[in-house]
Amino acid sequence: MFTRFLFEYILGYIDCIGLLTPLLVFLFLRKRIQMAGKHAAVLYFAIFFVLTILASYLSYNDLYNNWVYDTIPLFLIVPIYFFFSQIPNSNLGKKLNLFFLFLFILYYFFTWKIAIDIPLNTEYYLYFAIYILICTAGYLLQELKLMRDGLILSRIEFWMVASLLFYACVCALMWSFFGYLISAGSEDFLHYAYIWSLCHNLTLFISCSVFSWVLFRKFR
Amino acid sequence: MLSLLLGIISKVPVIFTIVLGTIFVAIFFIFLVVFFIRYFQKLYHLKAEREKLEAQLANEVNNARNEIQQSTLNNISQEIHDNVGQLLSLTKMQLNLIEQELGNEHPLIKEAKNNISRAMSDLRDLAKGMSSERIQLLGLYESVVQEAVRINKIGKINVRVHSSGTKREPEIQKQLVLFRVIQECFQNIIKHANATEVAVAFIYSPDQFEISISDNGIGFDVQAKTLAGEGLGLMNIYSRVQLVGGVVTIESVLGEGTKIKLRTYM
Repeated sequence: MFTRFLFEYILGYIDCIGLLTPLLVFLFLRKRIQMAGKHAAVLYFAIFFVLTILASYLSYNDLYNNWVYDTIPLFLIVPIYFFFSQIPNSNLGKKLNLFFLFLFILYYFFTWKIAIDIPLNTEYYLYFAIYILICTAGYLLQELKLMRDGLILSRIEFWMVASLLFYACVCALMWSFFGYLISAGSEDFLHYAYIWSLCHNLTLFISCSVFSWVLFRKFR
Repeated sequence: MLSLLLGIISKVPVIFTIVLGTIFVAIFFIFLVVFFIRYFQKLYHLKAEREKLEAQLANEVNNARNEIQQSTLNNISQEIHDNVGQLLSLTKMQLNLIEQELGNEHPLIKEAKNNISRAMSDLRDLAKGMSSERIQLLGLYESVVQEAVRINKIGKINVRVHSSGTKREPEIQKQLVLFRVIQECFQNIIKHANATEVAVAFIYSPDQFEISISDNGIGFDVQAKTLAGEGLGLMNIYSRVQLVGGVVTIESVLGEGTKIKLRTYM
């Protein structure tokens, strides 16, 4: 009974709790927080939170919700693009970010028809992660070039990037592996989908709570 | 065209995307490690460079301060010699004229003449101590000997100066700074130490030389004074000797006296 409660209600919604935390910190410390790309970061967490709540609501009512998970990377990539264009980056880096954003949207447009027939299109998450990797590489190279005063670890935008990166990389590998197991004919894995979902929720919770904690400690 | 593209995309095996993704993530993690190594290396270099620049700036400030002080002392010394000294000489001559007019030796005039002679002698010594010309002419060792003679004249303290090893003088800037440090030490001894005997030793060795100033005064707690930041004179001694690339060690025992060692390279 307790295990069921733990899995279904606590760990099942831990992703929503995780996404709500940075939003609450942003709300309560809105006047104190000074961060490059602040609005884009808030938009990212807000969109993610709304879509996750929607997916959970559909799942709770036994409705088909895979289309929500398929659209999450598409909706998130836009605030991510704005976030990376507001933090230090070279002109070439900004142009590359825009180019890859365009490619990503184009890919979505061409594959959408195929995607809705697949239980979960893990490739979207993989390319989403690759996009974040490219943007992060640009940001880090620019930081290395500028060598601004103070340690990079003391900058809040660095922690936002770290949070994005952690979530994107872990999820991309996890979902890809999950997708491979299904494509390899192991349909049984679908019965254990909640384990993968749990891993995803925990990853998202860790990435959000670490960022929220750093944000709160820095600006309280 | 669209259906062709969709067909190609749908036929791409899942394993291909997994391998591609894994390679990409692995490359990125290598990049991340390299980034942090490079970042901290650069940070370390920048920090070292900043510290070097700060030390350079501090040295320049100290140099400027010493130059201003030296120039002020030279001006005062010049003023004593040219103005006050001349006035005293004139007064002495006027007293001689009065004595000649009176025709006999008046005891008060004689005493006034003696006082003026003493004042002239003291002022001359003071001017010599202030001026850097003396050091340029005589060198550090002889200037310290003369300073000792001047202090001995006061009569309260007996200063002895001696040397060991082959006598050599460091460059003039170093000599000037060290001479001012030794003067500061003498001032401290006269003001605070309550000493009767002071020994100054110049110890020459092939690549460095050491000046040791020891007294038999009341001594003081060096650590407490330094930590409390009370000894401005002490701080001056430290910063000046550091300026010429030297090291200062101060040993003091309460009731037994103090020994200050100034060690510098030639």
